[in-house]
Amino acid sequence: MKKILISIFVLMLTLLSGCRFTTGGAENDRRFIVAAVGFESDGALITVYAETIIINSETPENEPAPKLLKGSGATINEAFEEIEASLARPLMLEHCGVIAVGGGVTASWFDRICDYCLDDRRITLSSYMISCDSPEALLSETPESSVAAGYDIMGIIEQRSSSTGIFYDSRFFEIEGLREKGRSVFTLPFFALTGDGITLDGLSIYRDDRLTGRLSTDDAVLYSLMTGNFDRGTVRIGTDEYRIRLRSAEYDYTDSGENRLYLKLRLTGDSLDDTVCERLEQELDRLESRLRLTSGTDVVGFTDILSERHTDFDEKHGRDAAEFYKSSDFTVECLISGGI
Amino acid sequence: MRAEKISPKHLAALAAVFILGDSVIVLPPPDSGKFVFWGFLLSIAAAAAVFFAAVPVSSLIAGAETAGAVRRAVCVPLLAAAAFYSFYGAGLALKRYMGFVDRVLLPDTQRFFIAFIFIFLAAVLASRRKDVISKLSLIFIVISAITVVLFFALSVKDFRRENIAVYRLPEFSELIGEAIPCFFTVSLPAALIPVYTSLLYGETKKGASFAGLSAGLALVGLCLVECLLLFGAPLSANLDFPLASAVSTVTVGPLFTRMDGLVYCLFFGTALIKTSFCMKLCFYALSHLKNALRRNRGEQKK
Repeated sequence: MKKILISIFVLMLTLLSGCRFTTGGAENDRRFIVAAVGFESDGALITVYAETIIINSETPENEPAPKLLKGSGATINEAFEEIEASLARPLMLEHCGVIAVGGGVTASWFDRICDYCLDDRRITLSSYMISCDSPEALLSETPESSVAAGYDIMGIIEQRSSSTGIFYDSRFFEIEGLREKGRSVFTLPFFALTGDGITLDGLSIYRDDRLTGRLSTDDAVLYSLMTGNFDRGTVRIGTDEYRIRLRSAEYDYTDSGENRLYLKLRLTGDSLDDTVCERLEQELDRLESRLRLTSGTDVVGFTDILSERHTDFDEKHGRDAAEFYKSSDFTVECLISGGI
Repeated sequence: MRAEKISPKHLAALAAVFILGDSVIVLPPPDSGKFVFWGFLLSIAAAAAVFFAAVPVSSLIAGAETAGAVRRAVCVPLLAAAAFYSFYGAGLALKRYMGFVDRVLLPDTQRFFIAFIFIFLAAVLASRRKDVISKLSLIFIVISAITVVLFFALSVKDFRRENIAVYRLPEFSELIGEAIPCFFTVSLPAALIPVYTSLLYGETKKGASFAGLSAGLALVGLCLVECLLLFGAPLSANLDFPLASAVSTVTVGPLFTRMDGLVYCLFFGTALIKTSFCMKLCFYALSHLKNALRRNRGEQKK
């Protein structure tokens, strides 16, 4: 009796879907691995770009080459279906390393892109989200050091993060985590095509899922100091460079009489002294003023952070945080902290 | 006939894997808020309370068959409740694991075949000698503990302290709201552990069972904290299978970029052992219940 049961069990195992005995399968053994996905929109339609590495085991002597596939539709699913309609095998999104968001993507489409990436379990949550003017141009670029532009971009972000000290925090789960927490402001690394090829050229600021502004590389460092997303790196003030480590960033406010936002940064660094701190405070103040003037709203996320950390702020100004910000002055203080 | 004995380490391992069960698949629970960790801490305390409350009850029902009429009258509904709840536990573990398999592991496969294979395996395990499931648990708890601790250590570089930072304490109503789903997932099942040992081995073995319960809760807690530190409470609540998603973000060098398979084995093992545990307990509870009712009828005829 036992042998019969075991035999039935072994037979059942062969019915698992992992064994697909499709005819001609050995003759057409191509794999379409997606290294990066790009999204661009004109408002009504979404265009999806898939940088695909075609691996063909029939001709292993040929180097796998990236190819950019494109599809458009009224929904993201439709766009992907258009791409897959011309392929003999489904796309393998499991190794997608980059999600590139074009400059034309509206807030509504950004939300739908995030929902799609969250619901589609093939796209790993640790894919990097980036911003660019044109995903088509960026992902068509010939890769310099890896098999696909998407993997080059991953390498650039990781390398630049350690050299600049900026926590880009732009992996999909990090961005989605901020959005789910109710944060209205987040940043994506901005990539551009220059004479040197694919270049990390600063940060794109998003507020309520809408692209609000861009920061140069130097401003991105200052911005990261303000948001606390900085570890240790080089800060340029004028023509001078200082090696700085951010120990902590404290956020506070007053609303008795005059509304004021306070930012206190505790820093360490070999060449750090009171003069440098004063210059840094001026640069940070200048940046904040410029961002306030150009965007007209809080694009640093001060009110989000205050709502999170100060219950009384949330109770008093949670609903009119934007108005509070517009009517408040900004004060930043850089203090030299002990330690290395 | 001498009562079978179970070694303390086997019992502790069994209790730990049972608590891991389907909790690691679903925690943090959906729709949980930012105080879910506090709710989980409260549910740990509740698990201990439920466990110790169940110890005297399990001693009571273990001797139901040979007890007097009054004690039997008390034990019959308790045995029925134990049988029902363990059957429910088996079904829930099966349902959660099948949900995971259907949506993540083998989305293109017919559910029936997967469920059949799983139930068949669980039934075979439950029908074997009592020590088979406990010996399997001993092997599996070592693998589970290594897997959980390893993934926690590999995820540390991506942790964000602000995801678990406390800026205000939760209000009582918020705390209870967060604790309730955790209570039903990890605390209430703790009551079945002393019932299992009483019905199968005739003694509760509080020490080993509690050690296993504590180890299981610690591992579940580690999984929960990993998800919260990586994703934050709101995103964790939005994910269908938070630990599976957390593990998918772990990379080791350029080669090991998708290590999800290891946690899939963890889910399979814990769900299988919990289902078998519950099936075995249900069988024994029904068997004791049947004998108690037969004795009741016999005494009534006299």
